[in-house]
Amino acid sequence: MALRSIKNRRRLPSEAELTSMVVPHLVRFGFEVHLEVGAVTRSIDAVLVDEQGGTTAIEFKIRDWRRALVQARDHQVLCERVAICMPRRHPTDELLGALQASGIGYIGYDLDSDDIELAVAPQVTPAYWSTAGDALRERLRTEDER
Amino acid sequence: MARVELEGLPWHMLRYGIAREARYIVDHWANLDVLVFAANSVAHMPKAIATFVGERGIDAFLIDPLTHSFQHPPTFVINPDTGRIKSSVDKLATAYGGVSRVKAGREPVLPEDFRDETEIRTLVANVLDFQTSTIQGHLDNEGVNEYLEFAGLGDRARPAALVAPYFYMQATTIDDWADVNRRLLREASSRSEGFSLLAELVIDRDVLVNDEHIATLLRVYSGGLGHDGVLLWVDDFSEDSASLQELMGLRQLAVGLRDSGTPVLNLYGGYLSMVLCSAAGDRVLAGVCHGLEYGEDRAVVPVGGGIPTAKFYMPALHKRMRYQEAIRAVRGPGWLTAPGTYFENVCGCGACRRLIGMDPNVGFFAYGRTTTKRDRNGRAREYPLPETRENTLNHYLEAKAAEWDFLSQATRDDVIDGLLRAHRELRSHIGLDEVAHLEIWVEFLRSL
Repeated sequence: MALRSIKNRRRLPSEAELTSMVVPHLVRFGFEVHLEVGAVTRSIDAVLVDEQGGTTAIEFKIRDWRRALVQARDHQVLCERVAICMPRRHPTDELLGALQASGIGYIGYDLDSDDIELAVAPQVTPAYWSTAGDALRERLRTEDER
Repeated sequence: MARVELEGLPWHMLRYGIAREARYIVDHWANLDVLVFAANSVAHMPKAIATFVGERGIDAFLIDPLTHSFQHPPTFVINPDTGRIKSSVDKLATAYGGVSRVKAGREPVLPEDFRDETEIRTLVANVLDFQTSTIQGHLDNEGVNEYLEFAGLGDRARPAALVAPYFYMQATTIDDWADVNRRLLREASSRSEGFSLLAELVIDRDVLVNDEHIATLLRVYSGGLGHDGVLLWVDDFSEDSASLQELMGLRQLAVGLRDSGTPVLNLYGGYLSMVLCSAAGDRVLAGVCHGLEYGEDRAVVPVGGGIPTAKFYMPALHKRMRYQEAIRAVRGPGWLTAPGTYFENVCGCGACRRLIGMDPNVGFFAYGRTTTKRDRNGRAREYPLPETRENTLNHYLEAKAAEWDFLSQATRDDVIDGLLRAHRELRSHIGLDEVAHLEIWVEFLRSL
């Protein structure tokens, strides 16, 4: 029985696979999506730009949510909103507490239904620095022109 | 000819890292006393370093012989891209000869390789010869020495002191290596007439928390072997992550040596070591050295290498921070609201004054600009722009000079007040982890 349950366990995607599964949904919601955006000592997995020009950084992670939070926290300086995205519809209680304390959002991806859910909405925090945010937008514009 | 005592202590020393740093060293040389070269760098590019010393006004230098390179498993000196021994270490092995040449890149040198005094004599003779003749020889070839003699600068190609060969000791290996190191030092002492001689004591941090090990080190290094001082290198020992117990061990060792007439110079140290060089720190140390991009601590292995990262030296915390953390530290208390506020609370060095100018936000961003490069797996990585590196290096060196100035007048209470103020003002913005070292330093300084 135990052996069968191990065999039936679904293989988790890689970060790159998770990204490619989630991005079409984000585009469908009307976001302009930029992948692997270089910005101040760290690269951001994805930056979403909404119709008003607002920016949201997404950090994709398969397992290690603590590491995702460290990286996401760095992105709060650069983007108005920051979320992590993991292949699990809802965050655990421990992660939920950490997200609420830091204003970081959570996007859950359901592997079975190929659907995403904004389980925790990201907040604009005082960490956001418009000087760095403007430089990031400028970098996105330059990339677009290229 | 007798040996020469160390002059002008305490020394503010800087470690030469890579060639592109050379101009920063020249620009800030007036604030520094001694430049430290790694022997593998000298072996790798002797002509460039000799020319730099001879023509750019570097009037005091040392060469760290890096003999420990040969005691580690070969993987630590192998170039991962080629699978072969790093060329700079290979050249060093050729210069040092003996067992270093035989074993380099193949197997580690062991204490028993030095059972025979011939091996001790060979290593010492070649290591000291390397320090006295490599730079001199290249200056002779280039005709620069002739000019230096003419200009009355004939001593420029001479090291400020010689450094005896040494091997790294952990708590588990100190009994194996201490006697080899003692014999190397004794032999070096008999071969260094006309120079000052420094022992290099390279240890694991575990040694600092063991009274018995400290007693062993004091027996070996407290004079008696004729050396004039000790260069101390504690493996991967960052002052801002050190425990109080480790700092107490450091003090016990340094005071024991100092009181026996052997000054101790910390080869990798930061602000706390600088305090220990001053009256506020009871002059426990006689010098401190730090690198540029690679900061104020260094692991013994791997030998050489490392990727530069954009870090900002935060004077209030006396440590380099990841730029994102520095942003929080500076913006949290509102120190970017006006130039005057920034200069008063963050830094008033020349580099900051040039950048911050009219708009502190725009100016401070110049310390964090990066460019994206792809690694071999195609992943994007951020690297500081050349101008970012220039800004952070100039700021770092000017901030260090300001710290030396401050410490030349400061009392212990002045130092402690500054540390406590930073702890109080920044902890709620960047968290306890980033400021905790300040309280440990205060407790340590109060115990002096």
